[in-house]
Amino acid sequence: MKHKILIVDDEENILLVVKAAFVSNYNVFTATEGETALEIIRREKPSFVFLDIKMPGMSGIKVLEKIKETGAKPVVWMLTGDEDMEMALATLEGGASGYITKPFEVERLRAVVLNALEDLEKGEKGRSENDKPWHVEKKSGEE
Amino acid sequence: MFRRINYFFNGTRPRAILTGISLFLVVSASDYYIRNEISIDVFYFLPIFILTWYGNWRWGLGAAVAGVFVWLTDERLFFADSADNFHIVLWNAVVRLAFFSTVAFLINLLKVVLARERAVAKLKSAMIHTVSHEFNNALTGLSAGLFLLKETDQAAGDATRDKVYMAMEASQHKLALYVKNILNEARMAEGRFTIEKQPVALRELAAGTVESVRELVRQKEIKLSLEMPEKPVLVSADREALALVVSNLVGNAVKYTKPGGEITVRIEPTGATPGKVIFSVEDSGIGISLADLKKITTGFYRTLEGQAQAEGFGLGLKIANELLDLHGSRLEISSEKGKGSRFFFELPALPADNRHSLEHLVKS
Repeated sequence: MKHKILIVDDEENILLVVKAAFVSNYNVFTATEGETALEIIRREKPSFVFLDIKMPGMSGIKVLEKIKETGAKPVVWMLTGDEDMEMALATLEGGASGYITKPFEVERLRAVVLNALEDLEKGEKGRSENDKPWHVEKKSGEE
Repeated sequence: MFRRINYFFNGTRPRAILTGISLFLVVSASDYYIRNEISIDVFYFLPIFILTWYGNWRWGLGAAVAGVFVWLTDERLFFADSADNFHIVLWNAVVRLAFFSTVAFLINLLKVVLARERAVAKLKSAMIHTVSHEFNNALTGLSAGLFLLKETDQAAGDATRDKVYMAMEASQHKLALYVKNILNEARMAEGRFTIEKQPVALRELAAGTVESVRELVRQKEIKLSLEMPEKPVLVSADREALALVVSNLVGNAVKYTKPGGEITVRIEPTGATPGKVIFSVEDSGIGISLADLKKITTGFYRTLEGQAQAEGFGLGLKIANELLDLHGSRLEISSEKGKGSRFFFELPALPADNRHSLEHLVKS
């Protein structure tokens, strides 16, 4: 069965390209704002979520908090512009597995998802150790 | 000193005003008793300052007027035995009023100007952040879209299409670098740029940057050579920051080297202990005159030759220098007008047996 991935970003164009990057190998869902995202998480229980930090209405940080209440335990990676690095670092405390700064490379996104889902299948969910290819983004999570 | 006072009052206005009033009472009481021997007018300055700064101009003016009244309680005024004394007292009171109220007025002016300045700075930084947020979003759409188009291209391998892709990628890299530079500059200006040092594979980072300008280099028929050690070179640095320094230096070299010129990117150990490496970018470009050398790292300054050669803001070198400064290093330049330039910096090298596995660093 294909893994389910949810992408949350208020920018439709970004949703479009990220979806295009994953659609051939995964079951991709998209949401442009927090409420819809939480609803999809509740309903579909995706294994992986890309979550934009800066969104009008409910911010990504708020969504991250509320994911815990849904009972689903997806691996969450935050998407962020590099202007709010401090916020991105804070999300690592809040349960995100890492963050990716925009503009990102499609290959990097894919590597992150691939590794996370591999870990998931091996049963060692969530944050992983240093020696992973995406270690670079996890600046503070690793120490 | 201001900061310390601010810290003391900790933003509590009533406490500050109370302190101002108490100080005023102390000063005016002393004034009342000893005024005939020595003048202590100048000490009124402190309560007036505090009351204006933490209260408002009304408080300041109030203190100024009250200070004048203390003077007017002089018994000579009421029991004057000669008209001369009376006029002297009155004249002194007017001088006092003028002096005190001027102080209050100036401090109030300072306060207003500073507040306005702060508001403007805040607006500016909010604006820059919004713009860069939008730019980064737009760039993401472009770069990811381009990647996917290339990946799924049915006519892959077509020479014309490849050229278009490369041109698009080159523009996208350039745009991304601009956005980064502007954003970092804003962050530096606010003093909230922090670096996080970690082992970085300098050789691979440099190679990656060079790769991103390959197409431009090919178009300009520039001969670009890499001179790197056989083994990976690890330095302790902020990866993002170092990447930005390297891409600014390499980008500049490509920008200012005329078609057919030469660029050499070199990494070499200094031979010193503890180990250090020098990263340098040497070009056969337009060169920089001695007078301009001093100015180009100050930001927004571009030499006449540079302006004629390519577009830009003149931010790149300033940022490179500032980022290196945060690493305890600095950008050094040797150049002669017309004979090309050499930009280089030194960083301490890490021993290769670091706990982070070398292999994975090289990969990332």
